[in-house]
Amino acid sequence: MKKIININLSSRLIPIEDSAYELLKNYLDSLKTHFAREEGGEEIISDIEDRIAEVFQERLKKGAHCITDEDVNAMVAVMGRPEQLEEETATEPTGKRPAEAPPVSSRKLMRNENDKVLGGICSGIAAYLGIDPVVVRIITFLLIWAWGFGFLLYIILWIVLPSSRALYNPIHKRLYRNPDNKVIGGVCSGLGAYLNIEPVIIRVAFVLPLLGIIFTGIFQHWSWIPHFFFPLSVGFLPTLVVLYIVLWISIPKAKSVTEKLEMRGEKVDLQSITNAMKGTQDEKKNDAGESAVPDHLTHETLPILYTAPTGRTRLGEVLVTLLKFVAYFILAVFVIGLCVILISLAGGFIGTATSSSLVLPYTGLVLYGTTQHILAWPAILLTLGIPVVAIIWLFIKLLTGFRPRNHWVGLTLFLSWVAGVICAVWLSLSLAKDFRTKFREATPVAIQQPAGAKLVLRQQPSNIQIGGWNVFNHVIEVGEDSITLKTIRIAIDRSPDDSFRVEMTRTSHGRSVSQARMFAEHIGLQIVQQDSILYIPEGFCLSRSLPFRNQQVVLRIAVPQGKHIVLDKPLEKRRVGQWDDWDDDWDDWGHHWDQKPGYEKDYEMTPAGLRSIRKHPTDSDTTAESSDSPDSAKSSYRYH
Amino acid sequence: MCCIVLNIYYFCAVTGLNRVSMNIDNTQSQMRKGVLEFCILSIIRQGEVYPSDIIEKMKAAKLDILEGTLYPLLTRLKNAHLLSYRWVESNSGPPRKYFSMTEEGEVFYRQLAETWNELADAVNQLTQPVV
Repeated sequence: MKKIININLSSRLIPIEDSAYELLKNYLDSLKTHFAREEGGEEIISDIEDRIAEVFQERLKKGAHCITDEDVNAMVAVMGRPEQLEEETATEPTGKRPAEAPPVSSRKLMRNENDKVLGGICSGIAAYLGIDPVVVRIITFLLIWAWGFGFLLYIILWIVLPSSRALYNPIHKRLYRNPDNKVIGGVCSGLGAYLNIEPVIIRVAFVLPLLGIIFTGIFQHWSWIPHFFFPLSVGFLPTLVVLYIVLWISIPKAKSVTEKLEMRGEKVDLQSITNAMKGTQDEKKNDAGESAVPDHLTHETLPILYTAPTGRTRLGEVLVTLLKFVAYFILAVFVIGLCVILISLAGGFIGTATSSSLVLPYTGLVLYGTTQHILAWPAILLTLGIPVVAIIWLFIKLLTGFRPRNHWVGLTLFLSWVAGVICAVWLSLSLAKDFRTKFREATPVAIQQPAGAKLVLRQQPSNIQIGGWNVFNHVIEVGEDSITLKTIRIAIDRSPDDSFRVEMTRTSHGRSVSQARMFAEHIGLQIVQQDSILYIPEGFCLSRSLPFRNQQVVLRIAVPQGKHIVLDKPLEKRRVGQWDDWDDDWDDWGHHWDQKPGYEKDYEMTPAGLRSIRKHPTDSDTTAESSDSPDSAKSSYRYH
Repeated sequence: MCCIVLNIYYFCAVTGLNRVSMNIDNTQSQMRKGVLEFCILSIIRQGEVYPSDIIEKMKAAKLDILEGTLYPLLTRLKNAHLLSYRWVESNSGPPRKYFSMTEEGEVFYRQLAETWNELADAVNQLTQPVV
């Protein structure tokens, strides 16, 4: 019966029989004494221990339960006893080796077989210059990208240069992609490690043009900002994207612990590798939430953490990377597109809302009643604002690599957004109800009968300030503290007797009949008469306290038979029956009309109906025309 | 490099003069030892290797050595700046030392190879029966 103990030999867990352990210990001790006088003796011992541990582990893997005396003896026979080693090495005259080796011969430019993507040329050049091969690769790639001759040069060098396996590049710090702290490919993070600066800074530098585009979208309401961001975003973005792809392809990923140490420029030795691995392991342990792991188990789990070598070649890696990039690119286009839409939407709203003079009439224009006012702000702020906050939060998370453990931020944002949507739906329903009932009220307007047989209707020149905020193609004009509705139409009827009559029909929608009636009665329209001319205002004002509920006014002019009515062009356009053109190019017509205040349209009420008589300011002759003929005049206005 | 040449001359002298009195095992081991450095350098020259690789390759070539001699030799070559190594973690255990040749090692190796070729020619010439 033998006791089996576990030993840690060169970071490996070895179960070994008690007696075998004694044998091994004696052997190693004898070796230690033997090599004690030799330079680097400890290193030799640790190398030998390493080898023994490796062989033992092989043996255990092949099915042995533990290391026995025989195993140790066999090992000793292969390795050699100190006496045998003495025999072997004693004859070698020590100290005769030239202390300083021949001076470093003129370095030769060769292809490096040890580190290659295609032909090892970049790596060879790097070894020749003593710089990081990745730097040479990037420059080469850019040369090939920009000018094709780089490719020719590469081929020529490939043919001309001899290959060598003995090239040694003494640099300690190499550029790698960092897979542990990555957003897309770990390029920024690796660059940060190489340049010794925070990856966030490099990420921001890459993302800045993108942000530029987004901000251009947000601030498009202020004209000077796009000019500032435009070249930045449009000029640099493709360059940076290409640069990122190039870097992604050229820079190898730091897969192993050694490469990660090289990436940070730390010295690669047994100590640092062990430390780095311990670090990784601790992280994993923390992640798993385990508290204490027995020491021997730690050693056993170590090998799992080593990265398995991949069978892929570098060229294959490049292809896989390219494919990945295409996938990421498509994804990114979608995401960015969505972001831009959302952010510019919200930004547009915020931009409008921040100029506070427009906010009050805006809300007053739509909302009526306490409920709606209470609902409006959460509805707008939450439904539009939350996505913006979420996108900003996402950006911060991506840029800093911050991974929150709990999801309360996401949950809060989502719930707030849902609340906002509920408010918005509620508000919409409430608003829809407000348009449910329609009220119409006709009131006669007292006018003096014109002296002649003609009544002239003119639009009163507008005294409402221009430059407010126009909705629906100038039909609604939002001013500093009032809203002007230009929903006035003119209808011409036959008068039952021989006097002109004017009747004003005010219409409004509302939640209830009484409310609609109240809104309708609040439409104040002042018609001024001057001899035979009636001045009709361009629109009617809504006071700030009243909302827009589709208030309309129809002025019904009753014309006695045989008498004339003259409409100026703006009013002609508002005549009922002219509604086809009404929203077509309304302001265009009005604009030209203002400049040429001579055009008027003359109608005569005949027994057959209303007949149009065209009158030009240049010739006073009256020409009969069909009522739908102002096209010729229209075109002459437009194209001169 | 002188040591190798010295070794080889030494063993030539020994084998030549005291053939009868010498222990045959010892002589064989001396012969092997003389070319050991050259062989190790040749293996390392073909690409980065770690010590167990070297042992495997030597075994494959039927050049049996005591493994215990390899490690001191590598350490000495490294201390003489003929070799350099770096730590690479493996997928099956703790990190391993991977050896590669330095510029100086390359120069050293070429000189050794030259000597070896001359020696091999000489030995061949001497050991072939004269026709």
